[in-house]
Amino acid sequence: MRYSKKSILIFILPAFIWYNVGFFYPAIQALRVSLCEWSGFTANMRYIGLDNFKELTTDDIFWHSLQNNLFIVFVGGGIMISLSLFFANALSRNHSKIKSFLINTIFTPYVLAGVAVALLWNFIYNPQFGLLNGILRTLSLGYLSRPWLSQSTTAIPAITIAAIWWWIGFYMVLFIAGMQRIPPTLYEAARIDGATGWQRFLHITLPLLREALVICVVMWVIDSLKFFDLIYVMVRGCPPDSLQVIGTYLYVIALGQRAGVYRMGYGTAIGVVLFVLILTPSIIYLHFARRKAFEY
Amino acid sequence: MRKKLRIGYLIVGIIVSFLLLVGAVSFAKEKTITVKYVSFMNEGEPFQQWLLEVIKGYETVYPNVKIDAIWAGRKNLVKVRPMIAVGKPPEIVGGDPELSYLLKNSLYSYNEELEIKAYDQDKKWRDTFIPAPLEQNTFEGKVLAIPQIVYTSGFFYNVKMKEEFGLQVPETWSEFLTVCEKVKQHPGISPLGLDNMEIDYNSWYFWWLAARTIGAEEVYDIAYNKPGTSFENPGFLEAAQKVRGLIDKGYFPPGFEGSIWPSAQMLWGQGKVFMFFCGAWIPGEMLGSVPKDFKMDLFRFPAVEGGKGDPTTIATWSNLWVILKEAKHTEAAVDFVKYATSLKWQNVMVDKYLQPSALRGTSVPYGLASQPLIIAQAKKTVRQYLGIRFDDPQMWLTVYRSTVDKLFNRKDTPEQFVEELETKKNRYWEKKAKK
Repeated sequence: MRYSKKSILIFILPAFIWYNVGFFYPAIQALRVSLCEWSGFTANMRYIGLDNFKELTTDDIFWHSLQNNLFIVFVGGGIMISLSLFFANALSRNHSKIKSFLINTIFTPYVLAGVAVALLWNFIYNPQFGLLNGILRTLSLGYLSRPWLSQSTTAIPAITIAAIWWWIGFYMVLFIAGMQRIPPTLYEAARIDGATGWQRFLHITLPLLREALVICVVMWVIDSLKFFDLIYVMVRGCPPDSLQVIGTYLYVIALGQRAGVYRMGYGTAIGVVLFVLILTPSIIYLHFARRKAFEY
Repeated sequence: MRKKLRIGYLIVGIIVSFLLLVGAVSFAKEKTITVKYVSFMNEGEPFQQWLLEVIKGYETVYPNVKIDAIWAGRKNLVKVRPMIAVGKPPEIVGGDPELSYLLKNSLYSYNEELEIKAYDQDKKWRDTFIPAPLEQNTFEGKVLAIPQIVYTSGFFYNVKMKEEFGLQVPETWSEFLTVCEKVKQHPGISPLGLDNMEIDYNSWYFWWLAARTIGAEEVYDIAYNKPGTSFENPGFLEAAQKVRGLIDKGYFPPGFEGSIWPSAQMLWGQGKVFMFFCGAWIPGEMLGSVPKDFKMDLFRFPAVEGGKGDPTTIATWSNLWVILKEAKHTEAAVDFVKYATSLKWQNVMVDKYLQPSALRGTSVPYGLASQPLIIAQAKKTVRQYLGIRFDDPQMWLTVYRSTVDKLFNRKDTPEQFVEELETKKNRYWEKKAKK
């Protein structure tokens, strides 16, 4: 049955309208606001051109926030992808009775709301009665206990670990789905040829997981650049500089958290930069990762 | 034919009834005035509970006025913004001291009403208030906010513990340190409470020490880069060293570095901390969290020996009611605020909800027994944070707030801290000058 162009257009029209109303139009408006000085409390915005973006170049807190985000992207991403690959590899070809139980256990944190995760890890990291310091003291390692969320050297790593715990199940499941598409005959052939487990993983599993890897990496980059809720709930609002990420700093600047700063224009400029930061690596990575799909 | 006629009559009847109903509703709506009030309070807070009583009382006295209160919490301005943007501003907005600075171009002036008799007293409405809150919210001769509650700050201490340990209320910094040392001798009890993640509260220590050493107005001038001034003034280093001394001597509870509000005051309410520096909302806020026999009081920030700052200077500030001048029912809004600031309702606020009133002649709430004396003795009052935070919030956020955090986190030595304050301040003002 052939469909006319007109009927196709009718079917995609609602989504097209929704996309424009929900994304495209606000994005254009955001760009406009980013070129203005505006508190949000007046009808008029004062056009200032690129001054907001120029101010960003000398804003120490913005650069420190970006540094924190990049730590989460690269260090957190490296740990996340490695661990989820490890679990996926261990569990995908496991036929034991506890396989489902283990997958469910690792996946369960992903279904929790960000607020719940933040509150839970707040308790874990509490310097006085938290689980982590308690375990360290019990193991006579009390000298390692510290205020994890307030020290600049441990704050962001602590948040990153919480994020990894939260999301690892989701990434693991994506990898398991990708691994289960790989025909077992390839592994059998490699085994017959004398390939070790590590060689099979390196030369069969990883290359054939390319599509899943691309998806996971791009999603992780996007999620870690948009990071907000864990930090906001863990420190109740306006974090110290050691814990600022772009998302929280944008919020503080635009919405007057704790310091009475209500700069919608400047905050929106930060948002525009964040958008570009999220989009750019995604486009670059997708471009280089685009190769002819492997046909089994 | 008859059947069609009956159906016709039925349809006409339905249409006429509908029109009558719409008309009746519109007529009723026109008769009722709705005053939209976007409150700073969350549901359940003591002040919110008081407001509910006031609103009920007001609507009973004035049945044609409905107060539509939105309990928006501390982020109420996020709700107010879009209301202003679409041209439907609320009549009343509640908020902290920054509110009048932030919205001053959009606010209704209370000047006229302040010259008229108060709601339930024979004097002018203006004369029913203690002067400082109205003065702090006067811009170009216009009073733009009415105080809801007036706060001072001080060291809130456990009265029972003070008596048991044989302590005296310290007047000077040396006496203060002596008190801390004596409390420290008691295992499991810390002299001072502090939530390290609550940077704004913590900064009080540094700013008050600086004010006592150098002078509150001088500190403000230096913070605002008055020509010829600098953070290189030795008083700042002294203040920073004193703050670091408190940390190094272990006067704060173990693990305070990672402590998040309201841990410090909860530990205090549980008898694990002797005192902590905070604002006069503490008795009301802690009402449900302390044992029934818990006694509290406060003393002002101690004098620094040899300091040039006036030792009686205190900070007073208020949460506010402002009215947006573009709102529809500003008259009714002013009337409600006047009703809420009547002596009758202010006494309920003080006695039942332990909120300190800005009205003269109200009683002193539990837990603030020393507040009237502290206020009476003050030769000078300043705004919260010595006023530094209000006149340039961006500077507060990017220069002072983030730097003070480093002092408490031991990331900076006192010397580095003072140097960083000066560097950041200069950089900020240079950038501002270029704009």
